Amino acid sequence: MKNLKSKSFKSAKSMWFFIAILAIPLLQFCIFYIGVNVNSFILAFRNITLDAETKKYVFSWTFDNFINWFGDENEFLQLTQTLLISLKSYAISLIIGVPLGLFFAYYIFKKLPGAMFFRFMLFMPSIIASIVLVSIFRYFTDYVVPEALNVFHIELSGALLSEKSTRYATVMFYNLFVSFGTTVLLYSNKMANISPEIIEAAQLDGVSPAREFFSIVLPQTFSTLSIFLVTGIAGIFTNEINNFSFFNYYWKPDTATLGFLMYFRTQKAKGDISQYPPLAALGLMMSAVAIPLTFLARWFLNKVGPSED
Amino acid sequence: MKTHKRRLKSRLSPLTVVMLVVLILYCAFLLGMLLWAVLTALKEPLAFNRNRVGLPNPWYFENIPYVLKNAEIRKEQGVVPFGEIVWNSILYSVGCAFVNTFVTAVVAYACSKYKCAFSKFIYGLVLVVMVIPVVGNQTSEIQMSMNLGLYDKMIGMLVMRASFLGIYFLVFYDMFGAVPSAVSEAAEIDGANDAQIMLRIFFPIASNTFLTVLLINFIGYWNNYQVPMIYVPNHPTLAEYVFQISTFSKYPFSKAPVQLATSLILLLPVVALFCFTHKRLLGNLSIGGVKG
Amino acid sequence: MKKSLFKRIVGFGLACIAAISMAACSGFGNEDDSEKDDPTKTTLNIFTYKAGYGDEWLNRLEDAFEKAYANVSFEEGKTGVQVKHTSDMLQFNAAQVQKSEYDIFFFENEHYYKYIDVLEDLSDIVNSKASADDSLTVLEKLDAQQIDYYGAKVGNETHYYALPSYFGNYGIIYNKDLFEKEGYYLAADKSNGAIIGNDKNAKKSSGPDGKEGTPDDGLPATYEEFFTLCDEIFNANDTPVCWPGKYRQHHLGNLMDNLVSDYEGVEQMRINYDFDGTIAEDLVVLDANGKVTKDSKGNIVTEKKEIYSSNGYDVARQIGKLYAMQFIEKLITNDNYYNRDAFTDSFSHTDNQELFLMEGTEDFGTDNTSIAMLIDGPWWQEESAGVFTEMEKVDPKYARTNRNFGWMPLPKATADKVGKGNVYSDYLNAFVCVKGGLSEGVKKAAKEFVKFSCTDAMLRDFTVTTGAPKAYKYDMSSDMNKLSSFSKDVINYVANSKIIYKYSSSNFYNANIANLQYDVVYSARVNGSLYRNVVDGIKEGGATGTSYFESFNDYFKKYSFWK
Repeated sequence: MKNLKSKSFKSAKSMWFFIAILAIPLLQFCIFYIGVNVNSFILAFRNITLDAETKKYVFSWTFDNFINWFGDENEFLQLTQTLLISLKSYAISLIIGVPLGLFFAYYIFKKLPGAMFFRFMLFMPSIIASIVLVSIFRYFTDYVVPEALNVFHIELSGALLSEKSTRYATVMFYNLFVSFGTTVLLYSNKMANISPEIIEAAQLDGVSPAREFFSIVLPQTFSTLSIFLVTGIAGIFTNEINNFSFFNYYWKPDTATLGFLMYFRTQKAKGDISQYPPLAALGLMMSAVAIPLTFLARWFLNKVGPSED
Repeated sequence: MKTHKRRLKSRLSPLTVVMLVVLILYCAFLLGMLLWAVLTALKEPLAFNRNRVGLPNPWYFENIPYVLKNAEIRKEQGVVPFGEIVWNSILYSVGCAFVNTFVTAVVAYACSKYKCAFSKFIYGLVLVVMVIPVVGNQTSEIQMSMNLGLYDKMIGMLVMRASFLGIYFLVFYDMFGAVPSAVSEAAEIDGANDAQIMLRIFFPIASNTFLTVLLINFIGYWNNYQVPMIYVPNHPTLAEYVFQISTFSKYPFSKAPVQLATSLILLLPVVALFCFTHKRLLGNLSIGGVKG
Repeated sequence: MKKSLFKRIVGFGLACIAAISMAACSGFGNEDDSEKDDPTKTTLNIFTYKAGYGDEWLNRLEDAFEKAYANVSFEEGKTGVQVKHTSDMLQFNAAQVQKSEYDIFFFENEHYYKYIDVLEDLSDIVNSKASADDSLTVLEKLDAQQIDYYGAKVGNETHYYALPSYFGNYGIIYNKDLFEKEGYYLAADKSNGAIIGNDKNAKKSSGPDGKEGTPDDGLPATYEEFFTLCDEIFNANDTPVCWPGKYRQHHLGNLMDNLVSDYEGVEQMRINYDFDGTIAEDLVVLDANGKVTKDSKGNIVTEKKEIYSSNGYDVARQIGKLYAMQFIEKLITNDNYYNRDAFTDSFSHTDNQELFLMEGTEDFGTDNTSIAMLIDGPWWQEESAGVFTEMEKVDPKYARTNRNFGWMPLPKATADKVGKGNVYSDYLNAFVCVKGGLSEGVKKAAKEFVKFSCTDAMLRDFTVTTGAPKAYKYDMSSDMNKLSSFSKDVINYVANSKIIYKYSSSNFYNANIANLQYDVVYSARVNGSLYRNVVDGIKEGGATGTSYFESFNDYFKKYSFWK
């Protein structure tokens, strides 16, 4: 303790201040995260069945909740198919969403024509409730887009979200469409902190905008970008890419992700707790993969990422 | 004029021109959707299925007044007056946004400025927690809030949202970390204690970031209907109001024009607020640096 | 500048917290509305899940109960009862039920046993007559399957903690006015065409009941006749069938389930839930490649087999399932048969009902095309009440009472099933229960209310108000004249049908309910992708009815729980 104090705190008062300001948030964390979720952890090891005679639940301990995801061919099929779609969606966000977000932010940072208006518009989807925006988007793609395409003599065989050939692309388009609000805001404001002297010096040297972006702006924004990349790893396992908003409880094999699998099964259980343990086990297994992956990504990005200096 | 044109030309490159085109398309699509939604809200309820794309014919301005007059939510205490629904929304969204942002900022400050092992632990904890998908915890969370006497109380909602977990912890952490230590050293020399340094030096520096995170949190809470429906079930918010009406099977609430008119009730206040404040609110959030 | 801004933010936040604290202390948000509590009466608070049947029936039930018990004292110093209800979409758990101020709950689409620990025992109500005018006890008004479901063993006794509420079923609704006008009834003599058309005096076919001179005459008796009728309707420039694109899987999936039940019958359907060794009579024989086998005459080969939990997967081979899947395939793969937005995700059930009512009419139709049949539930008229009213404003001929619709008995897969009666499945887990731990007086009043709701008089009133039956046995004959032609059809159909309740008291079924419950049981791997329902598997996955059946069997067999 003494050692800790001498290294990190200027004085005992500083240490007590540190303890005081953390005490309440940590207490809240212990109660509302650990206290609440410990049940979820235990649930993964429970076998809960309904005694059909007494209509009461019977509890026992088991590892089957973990094993079944691999031992049962059907459960494994669900797991692999949804994992593939989750990975595909993450890759699309990474390959299309992230660069686009950075380019948009660069555009705004350079105060090119309409920059402030575009920043406003890019943030707009974030302020509209998802229940409202999804509904408008669905109506729009179902009814307006086919009519608009008709003007150009393009005939669709069905609504974009209903047709298998166009559904995934439409869902991903929506997910990307609404994703720029916070990221562009953060990127562009981070870019705004770049010293104007550096940019001016580069311009005097006659560097092209592309070179300026890749050699100056991107390295300076990398710390922000890396936070999104690191935290995005969790999204592979939890993102349901708005499946529920678009399709309610209907399972679409081409868009159902791991996140939606969890959501779908939880909702189908309709509060019947006997159906939760396999999902709790899946949650634990996903955490077991996601946590090291996240730290690995963080380590990797710290190592390979450009220095702001 | 010529100088301006030349400057503009020098700023535009193939990359930025492509971006401009993409952004114009983005805006056109978004505005097109919103315009269509507003026009649809101005159609007669039964006219929609005969005219889904065209202009309203006739123009019908009764949908929003109809909803405000006739759509009611009943809870244990009876019909909830519309004013109370709006008030609940404000309490919930402003209160939770403020508490959540404040607690996050305080914990991030502590971890960023006091670099002990425990701070690193908390940083790691935030990352880990963000990654763990939790299943089936709702029952125990409800039970916990009941045991602590917080269930169905707005004040309880605030306590439950006094959490520092989430990406904005990282935002504040890097933001405070980027403030040169000379700033606090100077304050120390002037005799400021830890609390004064935090509140009078660092928090004002972070005020713009704070305000922007507050805004983003506010919007999230304003639009969220699922959490209040579970934890404060007898205090309906506007978002729940819209959700409930959008699921009514009763005519005319089941019709697209009325549903979109209802959506506008939720949308307009926050869009108006955003229109008036966006310049100030959007300009000041960054990770890894301090502006100005 | 920054300092003052920060102060303003903090000040604003603190002000909000203060306001919330004050609100919490002063109990803001708990004001009552116009319906003030009457301190001289016992008050009952009811929660009802907000769905298709609306709450007018509950208003009437409350009024009748208040009137009937106006002079009864349940609590000391109080006489009479005041009943209030709240329609909401809240989802509860047991703790929330216990904590809430509601005394009675009408829930829908969930199982009552998740609340069992916080519910009042209703056994005394169940074992008595709800009213002196009733001839049956409440228990006697229930089907054996319902008794099995609602009965919970405590020691050697069976106790009841909930009672059924609505009836829920999907089927085919047809526009009787249009059928009459266009003669869309199948002719007994097909030599002049499949339907009677303009020859209104032509003899109609005998319909699914196989008897002449009954109300179902001229309606399709078999799947084949059904599609013949669809062809005729399409050729006459009308749309044969409509369903909502948004809920196509739900509406068509439930229709398919009813087709299966109707073919297989109650005893054979129970095998799907009980796995108790009952012999399945008509299991399709699949070859080594999992393909349907046919004999030299082209008939599908079937076999009999006892079904236990160890070979429960064999129940997927029931031939009724194959026929129903083939029916669905034929219906959804020929766009002559269905409405334009049958696969559009934004097109809701109320949009669909609206078009069903409006298309083809002089004042509201977009063209001269009418829609002949609708796939929906008995509650559809209740949901469309507002559309009827709006149309009536233009011309009284469009009023609900002036238009005739019918509930079509399901056609049979094969001719040998014609005249063998109807079976349908009730998919809706709707029930009423009373919260435990109420004060003695309120508990007594609440139980009386539930009992009162089970009286024949109130069950009939429910049907007259909603046009649909409740899930009890009761005689509607005295009130038939108060019903619309559509409701009469529904009541007659239900009265003359057997019901399968999709539940079992088998522990095996309940342990694997996540994969055996009705809305996911027809999952299959089609062309490498997992589909959860037949409609998507055929329409999107490219399966045929037969290949979906084969894939479904393959998938069903692969569950690891068969042992």
